[in-house]
Amino acid sequence: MKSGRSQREKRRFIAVCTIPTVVIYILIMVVPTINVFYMSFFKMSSLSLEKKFVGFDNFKTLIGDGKFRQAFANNIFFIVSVTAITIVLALFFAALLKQSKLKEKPFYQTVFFFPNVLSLVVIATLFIQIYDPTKGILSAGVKIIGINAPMQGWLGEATSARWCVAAAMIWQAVGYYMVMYIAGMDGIPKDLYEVADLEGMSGIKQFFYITLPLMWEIVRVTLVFFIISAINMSFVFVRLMTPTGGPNGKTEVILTYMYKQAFTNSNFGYAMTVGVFVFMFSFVLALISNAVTKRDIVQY
Amino acid sequence: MRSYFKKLFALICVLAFGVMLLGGCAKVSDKEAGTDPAATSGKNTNAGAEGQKELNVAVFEGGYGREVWDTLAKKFAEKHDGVTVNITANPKIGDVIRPQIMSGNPPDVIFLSATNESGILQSLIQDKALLCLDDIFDADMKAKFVKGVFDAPTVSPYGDGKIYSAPLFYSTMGLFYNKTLFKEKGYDVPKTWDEFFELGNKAQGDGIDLFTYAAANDPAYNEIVIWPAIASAGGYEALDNCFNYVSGAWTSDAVKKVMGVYEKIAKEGLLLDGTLAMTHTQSQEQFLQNKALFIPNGNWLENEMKDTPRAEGFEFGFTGIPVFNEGDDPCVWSNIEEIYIPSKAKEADLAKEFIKFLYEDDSILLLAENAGSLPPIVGAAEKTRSVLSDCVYETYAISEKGFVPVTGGFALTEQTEVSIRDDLFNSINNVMAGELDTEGWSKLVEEDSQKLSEILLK
Repeated sequence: MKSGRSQREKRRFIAVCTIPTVVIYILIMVVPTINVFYMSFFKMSSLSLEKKFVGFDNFKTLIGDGKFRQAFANNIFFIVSVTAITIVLALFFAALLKQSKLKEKPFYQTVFFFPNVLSLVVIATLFIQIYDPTKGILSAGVKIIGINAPMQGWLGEATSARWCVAAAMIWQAVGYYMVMYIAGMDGIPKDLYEVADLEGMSGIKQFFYITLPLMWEIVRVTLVFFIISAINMSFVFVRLMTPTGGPNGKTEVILTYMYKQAFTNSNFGYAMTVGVFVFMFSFVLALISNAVTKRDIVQY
Repeated sequence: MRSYFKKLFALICVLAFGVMLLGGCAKVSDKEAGTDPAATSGKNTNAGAEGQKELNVAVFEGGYGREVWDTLAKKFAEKHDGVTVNITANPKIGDVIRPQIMSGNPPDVIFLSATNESGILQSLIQDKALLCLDDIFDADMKAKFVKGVFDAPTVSPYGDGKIYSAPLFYSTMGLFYNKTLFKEKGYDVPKTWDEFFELGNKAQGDGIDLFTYAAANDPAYNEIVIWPAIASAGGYEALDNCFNYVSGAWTSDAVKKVMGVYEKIAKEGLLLDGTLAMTHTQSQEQFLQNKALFIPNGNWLENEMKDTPRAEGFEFGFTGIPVFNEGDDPCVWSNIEEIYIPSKAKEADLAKEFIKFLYEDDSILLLAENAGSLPPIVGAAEKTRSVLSDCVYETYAISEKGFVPVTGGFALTEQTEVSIRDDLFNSINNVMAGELDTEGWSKLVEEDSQKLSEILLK
């Protein structure tokens, strides 16, 4: 009897603690998300004062929209390039800092993590200055080593614009993931490395045979982070660095396209259709990346 | 049992606290939305008292700041007993007022032109959410205005001649150049496009490029060149056809000639290097340094760049758009900036009074002096000559040099994914990069135009 009562009390306590959070979550996350789906079936302006139900018309338009396809392709580019390069760099620096016996280790950790403290807007502005066609440090820098900067500026040429935006995103992200990987590496018992050293295993081999398999779970989790953040961050960087969507639409991403449709082009229903697509896409992508990287967890 | 009540009480307290928290949020945003501390200065507290009226005015804060609006608000309040005017000014005013409009609580007066990227005016027109302003613009009032301003699609959008937004400012835009540089080097201001390119090649010998514009953030500045050039090449009818999506308008000779100008600038390498990565401010900085001869811009340029270092002796010069053949009518682009009242405005009558007040002589003088802008009223430039800077006056007096001001804008349509402005103006960057030619460009815009012609707003 007593235990039943304390059980009930416990449940009630948990409910009291969680209900406010659940209510807030439902109000500001779930309801708007359902609303996005609902609004994608309407034709309406950004003020939504007048709605007209159009069924799946917006989705049909979306399929035939060449600009949307291009934006989607650019998004894939950012997801793949930013993820691949960031993961390699972050793992490399993490392993380097972990394995080396440098005295300045904490200093480097702070320096690498620093971009994360800055707001994305600050970083984008910083890179705009770096890429400035007339007084930017990059143009001046490459001139010293005898290379000519692109004639129309780094962000103005179709060949360089996407990579320049990606570089800013990578610079921002590396430190954060590096710290996560270092934390993962901290969990690996030292004796494994000692044995490997005794057996004469090289540092690189140690990384691939000990470090990476033992922290695979963390790498998997960060992959989902990468996908979500590459989609989200690209909006801020693209919007600030190439407001028109870059040369020939080369940097336009789905979210900037959605923003343009919603607020500049006053086509809110269609923008919500794009929103539905973004939702499904990131959801599916996260599932896929989870399934693909699934392997047995190595225990120690 | 007692402990049960105790817990129930605690639960109610927690929930009440949560509700208060959320309620608190709503209250704060209400306050932020409606008023502005600078203009109300405590008067707001007795706004609910009898006879007290509050007029909420949302204005776009451009290069001139908000002071002039605060002064106007004060003057208006002095004339009307018991009226408080709250000015909300912001460079991103569209984002500020959008949620207010959506929640059915819009400002009483909005000054935000149709060319603003927020698209607020277009949305209000599409949703039929503007108040008709015909009582302000009776026959007597209309007669004072420059011909044609009431035909603009944003002013009378539904084709029935009824006015839904008031043309508050009117300005003439064209090509700016440095008078001192032209004098020093012995350049003449080109009257035809041939002379324009001749000058470009000559200047390139002196290490100066011909042209630059706000490619990275707003290539639409080129409307200053494109619209009048079409009007001068094919007559106003050609331009009108373009605006109204008449079939074949965008593949007409006049349009192709104009697009050809851009292709030629690209092919002959007359565009300032780096332009494609420059925002409007960056390109204007380069222009002030004599890196480029011409920049398409408006009369705010001088004030916007007043703190920017420039070439020695720099003096703003202003000219209209060159013509293709001698004897063609030279044209220049004139733009209107609209002020309007949402139909859900709480103080609609007072809002109308406020707009009328802005057209009074004193207000015109004040706006001319502090914002460098004039309403499209005949003779306004002469009346305010004493307070206008030379450069600004020159833009208004351009018609005296024989340039015909043309104005207009794309006819409005239902919501669509097609953005003809983007395809027209952003494509300039592609032309400059050599990735698009006149043929492809005109075809792209014509396709948009055909799609839009089917969904014109009625």
